[in-house]
Amino acid sequence: MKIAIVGAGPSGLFLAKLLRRQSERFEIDVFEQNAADATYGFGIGLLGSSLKFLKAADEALYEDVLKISSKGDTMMVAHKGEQVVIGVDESVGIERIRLLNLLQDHCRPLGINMTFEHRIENIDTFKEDYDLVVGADGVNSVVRNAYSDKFQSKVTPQKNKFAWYATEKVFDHMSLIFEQTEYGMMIAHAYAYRQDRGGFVVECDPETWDRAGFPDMSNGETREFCEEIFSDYLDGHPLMSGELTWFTPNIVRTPNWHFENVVLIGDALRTVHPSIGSGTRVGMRDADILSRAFEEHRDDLDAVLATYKKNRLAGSDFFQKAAVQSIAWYESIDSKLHFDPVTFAFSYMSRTGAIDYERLRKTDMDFVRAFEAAPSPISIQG
Amino acid sequence: MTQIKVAIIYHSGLGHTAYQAKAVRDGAQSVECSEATLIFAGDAMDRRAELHASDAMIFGCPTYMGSASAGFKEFMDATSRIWLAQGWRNKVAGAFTNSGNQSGDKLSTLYQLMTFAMQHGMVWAGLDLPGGNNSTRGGTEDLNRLGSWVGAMAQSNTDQGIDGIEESDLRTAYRLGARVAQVAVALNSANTLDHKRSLPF
Repeated sequence: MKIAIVGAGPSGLFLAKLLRRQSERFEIDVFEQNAADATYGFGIGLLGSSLKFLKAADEALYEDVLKISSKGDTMMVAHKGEQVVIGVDESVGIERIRLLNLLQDHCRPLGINMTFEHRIENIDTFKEDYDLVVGADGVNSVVRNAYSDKFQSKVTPQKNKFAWYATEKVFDHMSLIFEQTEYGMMIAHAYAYRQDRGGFVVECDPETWDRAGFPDMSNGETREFCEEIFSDYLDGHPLMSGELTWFTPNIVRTPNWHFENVVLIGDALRTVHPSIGSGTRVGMRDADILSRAFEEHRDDLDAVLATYKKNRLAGSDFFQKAAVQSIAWYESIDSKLHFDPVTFAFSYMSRTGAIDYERLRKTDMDFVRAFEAAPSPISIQG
Repeated sequence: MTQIKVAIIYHSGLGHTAYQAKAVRDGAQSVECSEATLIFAGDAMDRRAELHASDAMIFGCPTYMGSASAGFKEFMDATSRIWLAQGWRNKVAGAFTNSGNQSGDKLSTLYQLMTFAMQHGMVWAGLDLPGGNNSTRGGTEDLNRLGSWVGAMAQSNTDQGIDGIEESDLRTAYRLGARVAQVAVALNSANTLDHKRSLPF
């Protein structure tokens, strides 16, 4: 069976490895528009619990992923200049390029062909030449867009603006910094993905973005401006930017996951959101479930693709719903600014309606005590 | 007047009911000569000395599947020896609950908690607020907008965290806390009921 995987991100490479490991009857070609050592974004965060499926699916990869990860089990929410540290379940940070290189290293010895710097011009030829075409090419998927009438995806731009930076400041905790400025609320999501490096994502709503004058700033000016806003937290470390400064995330929803011999996985299929940090995990889980469907139905492609969707739909919807709720929390931040820092942090923790109160009492009883002790906001207002 | 003690025993699955419990606590605390403490249902039997020493208890939990959450029911069942000895007889009791649905059959839970208190020989204090949101001039911001008198109800959206609870429901919870504490203060000053007993367990 000849399979073309479009996109050499974590989902595409993981699928290639799982299938080829399953059987050599799969001849797999992976095509990537970027160079092998180029990547978008600096680092990714994964919840420790999300690695469980990885361990079950591919123990060797799991062990190697752990080797290149920085682990943490605390998060910090800063509001009104006060830092609230919360004990949470373990999470890991990984430098994205190292994860991709690792996946490439796992694919190469299996005889998977990986072609980089290759932009797909005519997807129809692919569809004819291969038994299966997998669109694993991210949020702006060429495969999805080429067959938009079949997939019927809906792309909804989000409200808030994001700027992606890296910094040498090492954050001890997965950090969320809410800084009230004269222009409006500026938010930073900071996390370590290497011992000496972390991601630093700046977020604000479009009104704040306008008032701060970002539209007229160069990339350098924007970076300096953000360094200044968050100087209390950066300890003099500069921000480092990639090619792209501001972007507005899109939410992609797709009703039809496959047609004939074309299927979508990962962000190409549906996006989650940087604020719940699950995109990589969700995409790799897609690959895992698609690969299992092949194990079950062999070369009966219709059955494989139907089983993939049937077994993945609930999990997929769960994460997308959490993402949408998380976005709504950030976009309605103004209604929560009067909260004291502890209540504010609790509100953040509970934002997707998925916080487990009893679990939180186990991971950080001090935080729960502080939450219990803080007066209800209605009592303060009288 | 002597100080009275109010224990708020609560369970919470996703944090919303904990948030409601805090408003109940603040209401009970607002009454003169009243001291209120939050106790998580899972810890309550380990802190039974505080329960025995209390003048009033307010029970609260989410309504799941039309009844008290399992975490709270566990606490209820664990009190059977106290019940046999009628150890909490004549203490004042009240209750609150929260659910995602507007009704969610929350009244079942309040009845369940009231029955529990009655079995313990406690004195029930309900909610003394007129119903809200029941006329053309009403709205969701009204106190007691879900219209219950057995206890305080709250509704919290299923796609939001603690900020998904209507502020009016928190104010209603606050009033329940104050009401239970006031009844406890009044009974205590009348000094006719013996409600604090020393128990061998």
